[in-house]
Amino acid sequence: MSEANSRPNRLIHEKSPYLLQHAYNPVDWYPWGDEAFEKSKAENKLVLLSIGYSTCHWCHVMEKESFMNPNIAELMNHNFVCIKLDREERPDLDKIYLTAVSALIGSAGWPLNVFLTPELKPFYGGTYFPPVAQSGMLSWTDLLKLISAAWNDPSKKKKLLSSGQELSRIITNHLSWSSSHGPIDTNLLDNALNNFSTRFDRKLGGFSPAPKFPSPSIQNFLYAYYFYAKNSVQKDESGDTALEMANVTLRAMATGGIYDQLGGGFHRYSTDAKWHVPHFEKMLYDNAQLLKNYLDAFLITRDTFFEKVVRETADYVLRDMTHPDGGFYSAEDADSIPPDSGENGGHKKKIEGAFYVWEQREIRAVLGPEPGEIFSYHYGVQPQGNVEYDPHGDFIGKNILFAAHSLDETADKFSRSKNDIAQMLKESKIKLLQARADRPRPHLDDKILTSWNGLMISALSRAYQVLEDERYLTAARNAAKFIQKNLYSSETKLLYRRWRKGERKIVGMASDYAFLIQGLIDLYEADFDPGWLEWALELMDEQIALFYDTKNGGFFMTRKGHDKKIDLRVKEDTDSVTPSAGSVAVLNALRLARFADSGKYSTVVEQTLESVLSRINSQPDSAPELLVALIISRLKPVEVVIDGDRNGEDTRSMLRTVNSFFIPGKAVILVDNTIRSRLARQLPFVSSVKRIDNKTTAYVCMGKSCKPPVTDPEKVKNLLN
Amino acid sequence: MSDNPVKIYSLSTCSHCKSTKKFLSDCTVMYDFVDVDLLEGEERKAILEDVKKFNPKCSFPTIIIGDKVIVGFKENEMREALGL
Repeated sequence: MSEANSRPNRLIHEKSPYLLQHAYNPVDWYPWGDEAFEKSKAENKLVLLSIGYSTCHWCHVMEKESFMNPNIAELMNHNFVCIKLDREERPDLDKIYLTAVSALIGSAGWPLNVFLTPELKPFYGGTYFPPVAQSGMLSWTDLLKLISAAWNDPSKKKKLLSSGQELSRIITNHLSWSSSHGPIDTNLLDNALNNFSTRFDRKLGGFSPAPKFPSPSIQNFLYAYYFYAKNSVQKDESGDTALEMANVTLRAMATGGIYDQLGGGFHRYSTDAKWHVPHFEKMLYDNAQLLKNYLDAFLITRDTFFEKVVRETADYVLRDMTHPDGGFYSAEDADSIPPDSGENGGHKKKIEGAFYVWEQREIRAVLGPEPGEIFSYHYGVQPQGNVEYDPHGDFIGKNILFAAHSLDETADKFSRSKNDIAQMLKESKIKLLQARADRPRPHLDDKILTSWNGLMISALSRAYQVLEDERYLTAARNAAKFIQKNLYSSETKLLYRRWRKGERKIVGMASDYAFLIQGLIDLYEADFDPGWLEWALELMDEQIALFYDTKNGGFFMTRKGHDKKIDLRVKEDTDSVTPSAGSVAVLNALRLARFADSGKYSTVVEQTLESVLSRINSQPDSAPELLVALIISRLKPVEVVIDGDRNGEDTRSMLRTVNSFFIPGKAVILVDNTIRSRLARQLPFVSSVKRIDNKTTAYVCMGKSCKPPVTDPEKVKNLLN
Repeated sequence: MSDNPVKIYSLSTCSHCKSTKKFLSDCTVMYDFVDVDLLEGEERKAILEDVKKFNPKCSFPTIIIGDKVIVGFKENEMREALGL
């Protein structure tokens, strides 16, 4: 982080921003690899594996307090071989050691510090440790001393080795399950809905007490469930319940401080129950998934509130998170140097949220008295600051903006017209955003990850389909081209996971394949370039060949031989902050079958649904994304084939109609003479599709039966209703 | 296998109609079919009326196997109706 040690350690040769943050620590860090393993064996030393990510607040805290401390570093270097790992580069290892620590102490998070035998078997670990003992909390120094003493005591060492073996056995069984599977519980979807209803915070939205996470997969399930209920008999009420829970949650988040009211985009999570005080980092994957949530909410409700959030968030991604050559950066940090630190004697300590928070006097200074007062009322700004929950004292006198009052309330309060107020707030936001741009920015994690880019390609492609803003399509397309050029080899068909500063590294994992394929399907449905579809189909074959568990169903995170030190191939059965690769792969397979006229994925779909869902029968809310796949597999498939000039206004108008419907899993195909024969390779029937009376013509099929073709968008509307 | 006559009302352009015809051919089942979109005028009108009697939604393929009506390319239902 800071350059206290003048000589860098080995991490200086890495490209991961997280590893580079530790390159000047006095700790003699190694990256994950042979050099470290050999040293541990040769010197018979334990391995200390420390895992985190570059925008992780508590990772920074522990780094400053302990890893920058020369005495602690000495203790670490003398007794351990210390390895730093970026979880975003190696989610497979993260999953294994996170599970180990959870099994040991009942919970886990980051920074994740795990002690391993030289055979890399974990035997103890934890998350953040203070440098000196705090009430009831073991200090990092004491822990290091205890563990090295145990390792140097023959009888304790024996115990420690055997507990490492035992724990490895437990986590292997847990993570690489091979249980035979039974039928899916017929009430699974309703049970899941009930679980979410029980968890739902009716007043404030969200599905847990504080801290509250944005949970995009849950909203995704609720919208799909709503559609499912509306289209089956006798389930209308539960559909409304689902819709209500999702809408309330999305509204609460977008009016809260977890949403960047000035710049768009969502912060990581809220530390309080009312979504006001977030951890300020912004992650690409959250914003991609939430973009799609808000788009679905807009399609279902037609409420422009949701549309506005989509536009602001997409604009944020285009403005701040896009590489000049295409592709999206990973994350922005929570901490930054406060803007006024220069005046206060050059105090340069980074503070959480400093880039985003305001004192009321700053707002007045930028906007002037009257607009300043109106803005303050609308966004809940107080002269003494508005942060009630401030455990670390970072926000004294500061305001985290949130939509404290509606436009109506603000107009009433100042006896102005709504239009006046809206216009004034809009101008104020622009001015404050400009002023904010002069502040020191938080650190940008500028590595480009295939999986997360896949999520954003999907989100922006869908935003373009609905809102027709060409910039979104261009950004999605450029990102797909960037990955094709920099993270993929068409000769070897090898997909890579991470690119940074000209270097691609780490072969793709199942999530890289699954999320990219999803992005490519949505991109195809945005610009109808069959190249994206062909690439998606090719990647799908690769993903099944490399990651599918043909015996038991489900997808392994890694391919065979991914890491020669780790035999365990983890299979995820739950969705986390990103969905599991298997959940998305099933969704992709269901969709691609419609584009390839193919039944070849049906085994993968059925076996994965059955094997995972029968495992989670008692906690059906743990894999909401897979439940979306289950819903789509049960819905009548909707396919729309349009024969028309891709740039013609008739075609645009037909597409606008089709894309104005919320229909989970629908497939849209555009045929014109330039691509007819190319498309026919996958979909033989398109060679016989034609235009009627030389007009753009739509062929609508539902539930494997088709309606006579129509040329009027109004008729398409009736068919899809 | 039953000897029920099989009749398909289809569209020349519809993917699931093609799949249905292919499925029946692969099973060496004889069938009659009419591509409704290729008909014109009165003849088309009359056939559409027929389809609506079997399937008020008038979607394709509508498959008649004996006294069973199947709408859409549904392999399992067809197998059952055909006794395959």
